[in-house]
Amino acid sequence: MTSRPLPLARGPRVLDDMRKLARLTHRELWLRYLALGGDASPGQVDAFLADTQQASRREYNILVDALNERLRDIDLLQRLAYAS
Amino acid sequence: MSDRGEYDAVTGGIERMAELVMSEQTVQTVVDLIVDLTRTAICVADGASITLRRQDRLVTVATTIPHATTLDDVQTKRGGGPGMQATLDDQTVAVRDLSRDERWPHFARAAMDEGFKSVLAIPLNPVSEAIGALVLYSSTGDAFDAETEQLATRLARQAAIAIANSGSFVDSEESNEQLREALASRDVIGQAKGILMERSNLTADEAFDEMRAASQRDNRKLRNIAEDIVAKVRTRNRS
Repeated sequence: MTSRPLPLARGPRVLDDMRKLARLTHRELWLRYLALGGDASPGQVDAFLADTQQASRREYNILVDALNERLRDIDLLQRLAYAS
Repeated sequence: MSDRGEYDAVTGGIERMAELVMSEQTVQTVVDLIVDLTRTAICVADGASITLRRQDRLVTVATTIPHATTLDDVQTKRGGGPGMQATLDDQTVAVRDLSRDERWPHFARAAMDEGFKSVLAIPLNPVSEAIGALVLYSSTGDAFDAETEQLATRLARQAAIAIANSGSFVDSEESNEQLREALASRDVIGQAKGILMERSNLTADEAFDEMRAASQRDNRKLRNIAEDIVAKVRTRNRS
């Protein structure tokens, strides 16, 4: 196993795919996102995950922080790319 | 396959469960009854468990098999498994042949050690999100057909409602504690952001970006970076 992270994930439904990979429920992800300063409601985060609503750059990137911290916690090498 | 008698047994069982919930019997009685019913009504199921997800791990709350907790622990600690996946995806997950399944090798080995060859996991979804799974184990390969899946889904639905109604396993104290913890972390990050904004004349987003960069550079959590910033200011203020 390489110690180098895998290529950064991008694309449609990528947030939800990474949530599943990170083994987090919607609520667990929302709590972690809230803890990092995210401002969207649980319902809005559900919509971001389902790609039915677009997150602002700020909210998207805080979700990325929450997911990437979790992936690191459970020793997975995948990481999600930030929105630029 | 299930015959008419089994179907009636399930229906009668579901009604009995509804009565139990209404008469405020403990939810443990209800989930025990559901796994027994599942095992009785679905004859290809050699065992059944109800597992709930609590703070990112699976907890066995009712089972008819001896080492269900071990199988749930393997899913929590060693790469997941059908119960975990059914809960996260909110979709039924079938493992038709454990010996050929490549998705969860650790779980497959542990389940085969218990003598099982196939597994069916049905999500427990009371309202909007799955809270766990009803997991059926069989010592026969590819044991679960569409009809058994349908029956199991009905039982899982009742289990989910009973658990959600009782509130006993969906622990509100635990979830309040998680919320308190999240808000405490948010508060520290907010304080650190404020310090950076004032100290370096940054916008809120720039201050957060600075903490994010430090977190990535040092491979540390954002919260820890924020705690350090706040602690340094406190120390300076005291001296």
